[in-house]
Amino acid sequence: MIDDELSPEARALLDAARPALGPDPAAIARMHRNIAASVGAASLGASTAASASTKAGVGATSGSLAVKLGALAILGALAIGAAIVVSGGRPQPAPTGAAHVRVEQIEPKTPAPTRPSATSARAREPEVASLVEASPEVARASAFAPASTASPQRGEVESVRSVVPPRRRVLAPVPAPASLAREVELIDQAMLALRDGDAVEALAAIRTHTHETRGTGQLAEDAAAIEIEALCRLGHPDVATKLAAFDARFPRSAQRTRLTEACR
Amino acid sequence: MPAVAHALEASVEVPVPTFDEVYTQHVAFVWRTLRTFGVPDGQLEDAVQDVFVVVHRRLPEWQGRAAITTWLFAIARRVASSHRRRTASDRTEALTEEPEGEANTFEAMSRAQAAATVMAILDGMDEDKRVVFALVELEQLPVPEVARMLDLNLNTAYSRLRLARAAFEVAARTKVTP
Repeated sequence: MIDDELSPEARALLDAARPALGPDPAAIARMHRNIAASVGAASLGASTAASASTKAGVGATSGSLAVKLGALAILGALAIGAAIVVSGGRPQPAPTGAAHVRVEQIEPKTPAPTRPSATSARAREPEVASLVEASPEVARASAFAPASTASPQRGEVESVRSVVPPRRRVLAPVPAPASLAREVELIDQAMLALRDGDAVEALAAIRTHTHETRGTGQLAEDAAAIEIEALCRLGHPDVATKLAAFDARFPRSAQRTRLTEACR
Repeated sequence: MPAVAHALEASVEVPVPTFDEVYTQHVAFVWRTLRTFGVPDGQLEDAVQDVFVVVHRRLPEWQGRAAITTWLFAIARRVASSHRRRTASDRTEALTEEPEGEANTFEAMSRAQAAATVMAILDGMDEDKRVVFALVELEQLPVPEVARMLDLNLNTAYSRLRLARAAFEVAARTKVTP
């Protein structure tokens, strides 16, 4: 489909660079050790044993899986290893057709703010018009997880930081991790609603995000983009105004093209 | 959902990989993806750890709904976003450690120079083009898969790739030619 391939010289440069663009073996080993320390060394090698098989388009694995497959061992290890700490603490939906290993948080490092659930948001059934009015423009940038893939669980990214030992000394405490975790939760909530075709639910989550961050959240660009996409789906008359405001506030947004397509 | 459809099309029963398999096979991909998304060198190890802690927790749920690289990419992208914000608001000391291993060999130095050149060129690109270029040219993923990963129209992905290739050619000639 493309005629203008790279020249042999450019490709040679990429080929020469590729090995050095990844981590060196020492870093690979060091990171593995740190991850093992974070999640419990005994469970690293077979953390997927409970999901013995699945349907997949890609991602066939090696034969060593048979050695590592041990659902009972893993479940037992998880039951015993109460020290395995992962973020969340909220129930995860069990995947259909496969056994499920759940790792729960046992000691949240930061008290979670009071948060309305998706259910409660739905129960409010806010009017679309009021949602739009209640959503001031917000600032700063971020990117969506691809809509077609399983995105990281809400709050995981930030909370993971609290369980992974930093490689180097930390000069200052991580600023307000719960706040970003909460933002991630709300944005994920909105995205999931959007994917499920529930634009009103998505707008409710965005309104909550805007309210709780006072319009200055770190995921403000995501919030604004989701809001516009939801409004487009609802055929709301404020779409053009919102898009203009979005362009003014995020002139280089990588999400603009997607919004144009979504609102076409 | 193209990725779902894609996965369902190839309904072959395959085992879910273990964590170690995923780590071994894809840690370099995750590293480069984080780098492509602008995570500073000094934070890459921490960011990779963040990604794989999430992977450790979520792998049992993966279920092959998308390619494992697509799934890892989504996690890495979110982690990179978080790290970049932290960098902007919370300055840390620059990484001063020397890379371990064969860094003193001529071969490694040449690779390092090539890598530095490539990274300098990529850093000069817009993120939307840089990501497409890196996934196609460095990770050697097919463009349709990249389009799915980025939730892009296929023509948009090709357009970005074409522009990125042109920019890379120009920059490479400038930097490499004496």
